[in-house]
Amino acid sequence: MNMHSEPMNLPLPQVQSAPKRSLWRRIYHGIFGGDALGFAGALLLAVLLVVAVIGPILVTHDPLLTTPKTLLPPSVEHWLGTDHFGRDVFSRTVTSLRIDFIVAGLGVTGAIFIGSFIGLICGYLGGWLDELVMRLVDIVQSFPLLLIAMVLILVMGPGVESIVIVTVLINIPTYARVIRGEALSRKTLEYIDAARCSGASEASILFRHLMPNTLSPIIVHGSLNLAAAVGNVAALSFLGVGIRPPTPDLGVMVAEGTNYLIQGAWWMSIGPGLVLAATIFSLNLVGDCLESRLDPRRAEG
Amino acid sequence: MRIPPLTIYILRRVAISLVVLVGVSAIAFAMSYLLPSDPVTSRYPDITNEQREEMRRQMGLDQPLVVQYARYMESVFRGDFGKSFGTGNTVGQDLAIRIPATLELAIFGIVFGVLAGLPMGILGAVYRGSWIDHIMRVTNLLAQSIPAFWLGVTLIFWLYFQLRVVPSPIGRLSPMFTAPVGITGFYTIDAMLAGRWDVAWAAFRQLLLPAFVLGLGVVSPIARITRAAMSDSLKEDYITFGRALGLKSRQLILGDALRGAMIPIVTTLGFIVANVLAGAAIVETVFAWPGLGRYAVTAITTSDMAPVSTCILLIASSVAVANLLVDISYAFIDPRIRNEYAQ
Repeated sequence: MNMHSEPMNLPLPQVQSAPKRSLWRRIYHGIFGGDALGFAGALLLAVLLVVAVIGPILVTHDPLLTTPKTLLPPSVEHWLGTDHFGRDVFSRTVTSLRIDFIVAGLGVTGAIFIGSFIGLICGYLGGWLDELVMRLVDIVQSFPLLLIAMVLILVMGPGVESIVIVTVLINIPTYARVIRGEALSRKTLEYIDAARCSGASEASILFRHLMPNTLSPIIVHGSLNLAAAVGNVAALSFLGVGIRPPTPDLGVMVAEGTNYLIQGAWWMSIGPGLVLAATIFSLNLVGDCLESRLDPRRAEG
Repeated sequence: MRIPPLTIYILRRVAISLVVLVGVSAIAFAMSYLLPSDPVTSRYPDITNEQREEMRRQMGLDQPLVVQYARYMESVFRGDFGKSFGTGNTVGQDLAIRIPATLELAIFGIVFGVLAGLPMGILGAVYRGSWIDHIMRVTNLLAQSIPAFWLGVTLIFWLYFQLRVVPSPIGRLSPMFTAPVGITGFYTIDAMLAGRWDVAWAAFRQLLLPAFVLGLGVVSPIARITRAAMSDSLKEDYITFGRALGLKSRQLILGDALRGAMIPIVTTLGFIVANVLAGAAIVETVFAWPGLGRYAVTAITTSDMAPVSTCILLIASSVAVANLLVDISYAFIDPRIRNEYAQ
């Protein structure tokens, strides 16, 4: 029994009387399977993405400009108040969101490409190479990845590039494992035999027949992974080894805000924290919804 | 002689774990080697080049990497983890204080996470697709989404600075009390053993907030896997049969179906141990908790080699051991796995 194929008893944002299925309804039912929560998550994510993309137009002040107006509470002039250097918290939050999306997005995309390639090759070829790589994945996955990320960033020198590279590195095993499993379970299917019989080369089987079929687990893990990556980048910055001040980042802003909480300047950390939580929450909602829609193990029945 | 299947199964799992542990130790060693600090220069900043070369030779740093790794492993097996120049103590002494602190926090956190996540997952599976299921789903996704460091800071602000309902969020015990001396190193238990109920209560109150924040990261994985596994096991024939026999729903759900769902739930425990130990780095930093996570973070940011490699080795080994225990427990929960090795 698949819960998402059933009519939901939640209030649905749809027009019952519409004679033709509108574009919205088609998206709502086609992609999200009528899952109101997943759809709400996607809307929230879309809003956050738009804010991140048009951020430079949206900001009301220069996010890096220090002014003498320090630690002002929220007002009409400064929507989320100002920080200890007199910088506008709202403008910094918007810019941070943009930077965090770019860093986490690049990291996860890199991991998807490298990890899927490794997983595809291992699952398809099998044998000692597969055994070796999977043991390596076991080893890497038993490490405290946050601490490993800290060490690697210090080794490479702090900076945005290091965080992207580290995000790629610590996420490769996830995709290698998932895609290996997919390749392993699909390589014995009939359509692969059919392709081989009709004279397809090994490379063509791998990349034209096997790879496209591993797309859905990649999308599911990608959105859940992006949620974790955004959180990790912020956590690293909070611990002081991620994105460095004065570059705005949500984790840095929460860390800076912490030092002024005692003076009552709650506005310095509440906004960035909420935006961070909303970003991770929306990605998790979308990932969770797609997972129950696309995961082959959960799809049947 | 015929070896019992269970023994073969356990031996095989132990062998795999040993391979993982060797890899773990090699990477832990490499990590400390990679850190941008020269142990000689950081200890003796103003020495001449000849003196530095001499020191390096004495410390064995001029040897090939493999030899250094072998010597490192040898000293690890002797229980000698080197010295931290941050604290001035040996790493062994530092860990002796910090491991119980982290364990106490982690156990309270995991217990809270399981107690909250398990019922949420069961409710989600039993009322699958209904509004109860949706509330559970949103709640556990929220628990997973709120960044621990921000939640910690915000809770401290409201509950301590504003409302004063929790004690000062600094460390394991407020300075008004002296730490109980004891066997376990757990302040709550040691204080109770010493009959100091007021100290035990103070230590418990100190634990509440950090354990809650740490445990929140456990709620979601437990609830998710419980819901999925319970949904599957509720569809099994033996449940339908039980219903046909007229057995009570409570007995069927909490007894039979839950037991059938135990394997996937136990599997996540290895993952959860890894999660909690990584989360401890953040939570301990926020709550000034004198544990392993904060020790590791401080050591990494100050390029303190010996504690870094030891902490990484220790955390990774505990995850490997947790995974091993999980694998072995399968054989006890599910006789089919044990019998696979009977042939």
